[in-house]
Amino acid sequence: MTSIGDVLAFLPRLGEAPHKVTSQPADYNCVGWVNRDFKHWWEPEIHWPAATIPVPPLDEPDLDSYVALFESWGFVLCDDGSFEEGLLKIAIYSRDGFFHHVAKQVPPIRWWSSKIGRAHDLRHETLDALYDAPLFEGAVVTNFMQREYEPDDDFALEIDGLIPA
Amino acid sequence: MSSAVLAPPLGALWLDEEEAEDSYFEPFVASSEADSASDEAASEPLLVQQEFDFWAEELAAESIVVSSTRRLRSHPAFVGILALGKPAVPYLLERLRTGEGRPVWLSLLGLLTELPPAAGAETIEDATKAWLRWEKTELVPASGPGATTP
Repeated sequence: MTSIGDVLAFLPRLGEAPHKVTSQPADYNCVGWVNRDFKHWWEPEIHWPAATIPVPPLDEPDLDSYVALFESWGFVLCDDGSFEEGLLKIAIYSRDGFFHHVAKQVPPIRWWSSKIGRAHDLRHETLDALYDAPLFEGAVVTNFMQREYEPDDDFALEIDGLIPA
Repeated sequence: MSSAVLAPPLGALWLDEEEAEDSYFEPFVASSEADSASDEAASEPLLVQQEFDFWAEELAAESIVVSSTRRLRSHPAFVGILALGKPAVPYLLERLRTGEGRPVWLSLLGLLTELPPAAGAETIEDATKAWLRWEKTELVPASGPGATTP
């Protein structure tokens, strides 16, 4: 099974940055994690609402398609990732118009939560903790989106996960 | 349906049932339709397996943090497995059985076979089961894991 050591080997900044692992590896990805969807690997060729969001051509930039997907979930583009009461923000990592990753805010503690590839969920204090991963090809946060959330929304899974402290 | 190796049918792993009708039951023989380079490789299954294992180990390790298998299409190990052609299919199915890295192996299976046995599957788990059912019912094992010899 993939260990957190395997993950840290490919995320060179994360090991030096404040973070906490909050799940075991599983076959859903960061896109599903935005909505706590533990069942699907959201990607145009794998699980995608093609009837409403056209599948982007292979090898062409696909960031706009992911933005459209998040818009279909109620998110709208916003200026930054600053914490604002009542708003849940997501940060999209991309390069040259190619989507690489998305992290979501954890408002109660003002950290971010990411499902890392096919590995673990973890929370990280800063967005740049995921920079410089070799296979992210220099991707950085290029877009922020936000939607309202209910005041009683529970963030326990993002904060402590299923792993005892 | 597209026939380009690197441009498979859209939604190759999860095609709509309607889109899948034409090709779902096409017989599949692991080596008969491979290109000349792959034919040569198929004649030496041990070498195919060794090369596959080399690339697969690298791909499994390095793809851990990747959230979209689309971002792997230029990775040397991904390209290396594609270059093996259809003789790599039995080994990809074996990888599916072992669990880790399933989105990557499913993506490669879709590209190499251009078949959608997982049409309509909702999850990685369901798609894996569909491909393994396909292996039992449609794949003619010419080499690799599961091959039989008289």
